[in-house]
Amino acid sequence: MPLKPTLEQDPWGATFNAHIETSINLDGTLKDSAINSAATTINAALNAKYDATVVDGLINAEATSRIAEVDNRGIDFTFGPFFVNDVPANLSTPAGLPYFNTATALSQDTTGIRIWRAGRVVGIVISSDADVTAGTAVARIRITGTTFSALTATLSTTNPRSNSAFSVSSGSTFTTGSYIGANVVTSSDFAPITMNAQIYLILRLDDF
Amino acid sequence: MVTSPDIYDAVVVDALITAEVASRIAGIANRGIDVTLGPFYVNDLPASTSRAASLGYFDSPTTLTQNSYGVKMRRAGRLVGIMIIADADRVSGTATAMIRVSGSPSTAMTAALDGSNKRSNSVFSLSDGATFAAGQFIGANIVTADFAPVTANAQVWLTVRLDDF
Repeated sequence: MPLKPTLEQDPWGATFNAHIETSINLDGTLKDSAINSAATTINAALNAKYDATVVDGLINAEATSRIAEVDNRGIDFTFGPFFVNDVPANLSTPAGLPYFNTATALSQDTTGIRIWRAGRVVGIVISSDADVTAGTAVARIRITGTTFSALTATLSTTNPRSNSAFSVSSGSTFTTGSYIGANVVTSSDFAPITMNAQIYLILRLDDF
Repeated sequence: MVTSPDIYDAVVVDALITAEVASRIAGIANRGIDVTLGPFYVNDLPASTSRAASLGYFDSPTTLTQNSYGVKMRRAGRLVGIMIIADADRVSGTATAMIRVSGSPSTAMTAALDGSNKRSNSVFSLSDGATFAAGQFIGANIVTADFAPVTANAQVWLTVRLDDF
């Protein structure tokens, strides 16, 4: 049976595995000479493919590709505070952004801000100027008029003054061109209704 | 007897990968910080002007005042996002928000209220925005052209990405 070295290809196209099919003569001569000869041939091929420089180049190329993903990562930004004064019970209330209406006087407006890039809410923070004594007040993101409960922060008697939630995967996503705002949703037994609250949203835009 | 060279040794390859990955991970850990500044306010947008937008300050427990002095950034960086929003729909003209670097407005990356985006607009780019050096003062400007209504109040947000550490 003739000597038959074969080479297999790995996913990168580099030769990495050698098989040698041969027969062994009773006197053993074919085994020694043929196998050594085949091994020399195969190692030469391996040398051409798996030179340290080549390996280093492959690693570098992969790492460069990955680092480019980091450089092009989406922007994180914190948006707020959105305000609700005198948080009512049993209601979903849009939180307003403050505007200077004159040089010194303020007004509020609840129109969301238009974000011209898709993304996800990755954090939400609520803070108030009084302790919750009953019920709950839940901060939610509002996306083009609809509130979502995928990632929320709740004031209750457990967290009476401030709370927050962060996740890079469980928050609601939004598409480019969406209007982003915040709501406070309260239970029917929420108190005190003289409490004032503010909300921050942390958004992560999609990678570039 | 022919033997495989050491360069094929899994330990050698593993060491190469480990060193490279450790280097790259360090790069990720030291990546620049994204900072959002704002809101910067302009009340009663004039029809045609270039006006520095202001930060709001409490000058008593219940009353506010405005000042357009910029924020001193002690690290170099680049503008990567700009947002403008108003409390009334634009009726005519444009109101364009831009970064102000040590007093000079830059038009490199802007967000405008116009016929297409009457109430709010935003722009994001990792490469188009103005850069700034460590120690410069960052603020916002709004440039209006034939803008109405002049009773509209606006606010601007800037997101900057600081240079890698």
